[in-house]
Amino acid sequence: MVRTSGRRSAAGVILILASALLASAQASLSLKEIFRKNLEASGGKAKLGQVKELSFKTGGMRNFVSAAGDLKILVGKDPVITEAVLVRGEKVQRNSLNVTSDVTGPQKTVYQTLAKLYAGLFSLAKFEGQLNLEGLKSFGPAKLYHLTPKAKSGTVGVHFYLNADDFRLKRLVFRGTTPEGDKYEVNYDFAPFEETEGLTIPLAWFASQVGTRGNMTEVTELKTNQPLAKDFFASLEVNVGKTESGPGEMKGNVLDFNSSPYGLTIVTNWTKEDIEKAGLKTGDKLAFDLDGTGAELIFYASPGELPPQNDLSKGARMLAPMPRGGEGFAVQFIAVDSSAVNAKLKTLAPISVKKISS
Amino acid sequence: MSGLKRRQFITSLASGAIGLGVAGKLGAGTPESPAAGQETNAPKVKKYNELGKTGLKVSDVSCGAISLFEPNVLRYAYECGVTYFDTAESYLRMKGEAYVGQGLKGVRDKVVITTKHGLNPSQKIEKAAIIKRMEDSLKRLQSDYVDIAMVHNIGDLTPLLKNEEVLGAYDQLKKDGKVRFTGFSTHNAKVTLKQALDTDFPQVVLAMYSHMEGKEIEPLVKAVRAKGIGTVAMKIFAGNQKNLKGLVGPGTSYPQAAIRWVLSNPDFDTCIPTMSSYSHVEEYVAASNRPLDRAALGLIARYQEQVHNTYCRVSCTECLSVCPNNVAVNDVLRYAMYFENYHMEKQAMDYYAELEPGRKPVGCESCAGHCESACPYGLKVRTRLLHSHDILTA
Repeated sequence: MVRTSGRRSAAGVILILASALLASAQASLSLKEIFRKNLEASGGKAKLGQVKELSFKTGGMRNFVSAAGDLKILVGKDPVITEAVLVRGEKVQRNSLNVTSDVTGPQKTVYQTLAKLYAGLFSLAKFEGQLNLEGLKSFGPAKLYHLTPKAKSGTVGVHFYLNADDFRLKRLVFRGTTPEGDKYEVNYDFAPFEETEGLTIPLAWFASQVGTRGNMTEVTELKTNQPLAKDFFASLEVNVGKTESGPGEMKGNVLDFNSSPYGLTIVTNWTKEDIEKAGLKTGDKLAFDLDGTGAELIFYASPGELPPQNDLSKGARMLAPMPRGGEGFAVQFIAVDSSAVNAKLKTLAPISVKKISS
Repeated sequence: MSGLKRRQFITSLASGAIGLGVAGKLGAGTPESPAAGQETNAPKVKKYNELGKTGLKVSDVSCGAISLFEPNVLRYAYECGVTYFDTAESYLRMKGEAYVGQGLKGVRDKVVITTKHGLNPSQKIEKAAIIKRMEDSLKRLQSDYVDIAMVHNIGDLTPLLKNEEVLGAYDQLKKDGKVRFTGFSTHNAKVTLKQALDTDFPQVVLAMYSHMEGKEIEPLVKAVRAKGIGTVAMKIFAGNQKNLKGLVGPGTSYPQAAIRWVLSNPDFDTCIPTMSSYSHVEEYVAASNRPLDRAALGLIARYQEQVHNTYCRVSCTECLSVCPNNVAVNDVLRYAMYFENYHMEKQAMDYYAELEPGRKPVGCESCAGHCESACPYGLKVRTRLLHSHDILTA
C-alpha cells in the first residue's frame, strides 16, 4: 500500500517536472521561433502564397482582403452597399451613403491591424519583423505568448496573444485612449482554428469591452481567390441605387426589408432631399408601386407626426422616417396584409410613389 | 531503489530543475511563484465575505457569467481569487451553465456556483419538472450539486411561497444533496426583500444595486442581511452606458469605481459584474477591497451627470401605479437597455415578446404621460417607451 502510494507520488512529481520543463521550454522560445511556429500553424508560406485574395462575411459585413494587405469592408444586403471601408497602407477611408471621410483614432488602428491579420490568414505573417515578445502570460491553465508592435500606432496599443501549445492567435486586444482622452479597450477572443476551404482559421470570435458585455461574430461564406475587378481595392463606391424626384413623385430603390409578426418594413434610398423635391407633406396620400404591385400609403414627415401607437397597431400603410432614426425613409405595413408586396421584394428593386391627394 | 532513495532522487531532481529556472512552474496556478519569463501582473481578490449565514465565504468581487465565449476566462477569474460564479439555465441560450461547468472543472469544490431557473409560480408547474430541470443543469455544470439554486427574476414572492410544487421541489433537491441553499433574483427588491423577511425560503438573494438606484432598498438589504440572508448585487454598472466622456480617473476607471461604490455598502456580501474576457477579470478584480476615494466618486458623479435623466431606475416603480394602461414601464425600459446597451438584441426581443400584450406601451402615444409626471428623475418616459417598442419589435 505504502509502496503503491509512493509510486503514485513519484509519478505525480515526474509529471509536474515534465510540465515544468515544458513550461521552461515555452518560456525560453525566441520570438523568431514563435513567429515561425505561428506561420506553420496557418499552413506556412506556401499556403500564404496560394491565397491572393480572401473574402468572408461577418454578420452584415462582407470583408475582402488582398495578399498585399488591402482590406475592403462592405456593409449592406448584397448587392446593396450602404457603407464601404477601405484600408490601403496608411490610409483608412469610409464612404457612408456617398459621404466619404478619413477614419482616424482607435478605429484606424483596429482596421489596419485586422487588414494585416486577415491578409496573413489569421497568422502574424504580415507583422514579420514588427513585433516584440513581451513574455508568456498565464490565464489560469492557459499560457499565451504576448506580442506587441515595436512601433506604436496612434493612441491605442495592440496586444497579440498566441496559444503556447499550438501558436495560434487566441486573443487580440486594443487598449489605449481615444483622441478625446477617454479609455478605449476592445478584446477579441478567438475560437479554436478549424479547417475550412483549405484554410485553417478561427470561424468565430467574441468582441467585448470592459464595462459592457460582448458580441459573438461568426465567419460565413469564406472564399479565396474570387475574381475581383482590377480596381476593386482602389474604389470606395457604395451601391444604394438611384433616386429621381420631382413634384408629387419619387422613384427609388429598396435597400433592405424586414418582415416580422408586427408587419413589414421596407428601407428605401429616399432622403429628406427627395422628400423636399417631391414637396410631400404629412398626411399626403401616396400610390406606392413595386413591380406592378401597389398600395396606398400615408406620408409622415417626422416621427412626432405619427399617429398614436394604438391606432397604428390597428393597421397602417405609410411612408415615414426610419423607425430607429437616421436620415432615411421606410415604407411600413403594420398589422395589414402585405404578402403581395412581400413576395416581390428584393434589394435594389425599383419602387415609386405618386401623390394622390393631400 | 527503496522508497526513501527514490524520494531522495526525486528531491534532488526537483532541486536541479529549480536550478535550471523552472521553479515557478512547479507552482503552476499559483501566481505568487511564476516561471521565469512569464508575465505576472494578474490582480488578486483581496477580500472575502461570509455569504449570509450559509457558512460559505465568497470573494467581494465575483463573476456574472451571462455573456461568455471562452470558458477559461472563468478559470482565470478563479486563479485571480474569484470564488463565486453566477449563471442561469437560460443564459447564452442554454449554453451558459455548460461554459461554467467546463471553465471550473477541476476546481468545483473550491468555488460557489449559483444557477437560476425561471419559474412562474402563478401558472401550473410540477415538482418533477422543476427537479428534472435542475438535474439537467447539474449535468451541464458537470457537478453533483449546486451551491445556490435561485428562482430567476421574481417580482413578487407571494405566489412562489404559496406554490407547494415549487417549494416541494426545492426541498427535495436539498434533501437529495443536489442543492445546498435556495434564493431568488429580483428587479423589484422593494417588494421582494420585504417579503423575504417573513420566509425561510431564501438563504441568498440577488438584487439590482448600483450608484444610480438602490438607496431606497438599503434598509431592506440591511434587514435581510441581519436575518442571515446572503446578499449579492447585480447590474452594478447602472446601464453599461458606453461612449460617455471623461470616465477615466487617476488610478481607476468607471467600472472599478462602480464596483467600489457597491462594495462600500457592508450589507452586500458580493457583486457579480459580467466577466466576458480576461480583461474584464483583471479590470474588475483590481477593484477588490479598494475603498471609495475622491477619484472614484468623481467618476461616478460624472456618469450620473451624463445619464441622470435617461437611465431608468428599474427598481424605482413610481410610474407603475399612475399608468392608466398598466404598462410594465420598468420592464420595457429594461429590455430596451438589454437591446441598446448590452447588445443582447435577440434576447431582449424575446423577453419583450413574452410580456403580456396588455402591458406593452401600445396606448402611450395618445396618453397624457402620467409616467413622466411621476418619474422622480425627469425621464421622457413616454417617448422612451415608444422608442423601446419600436426597437424591440422591429
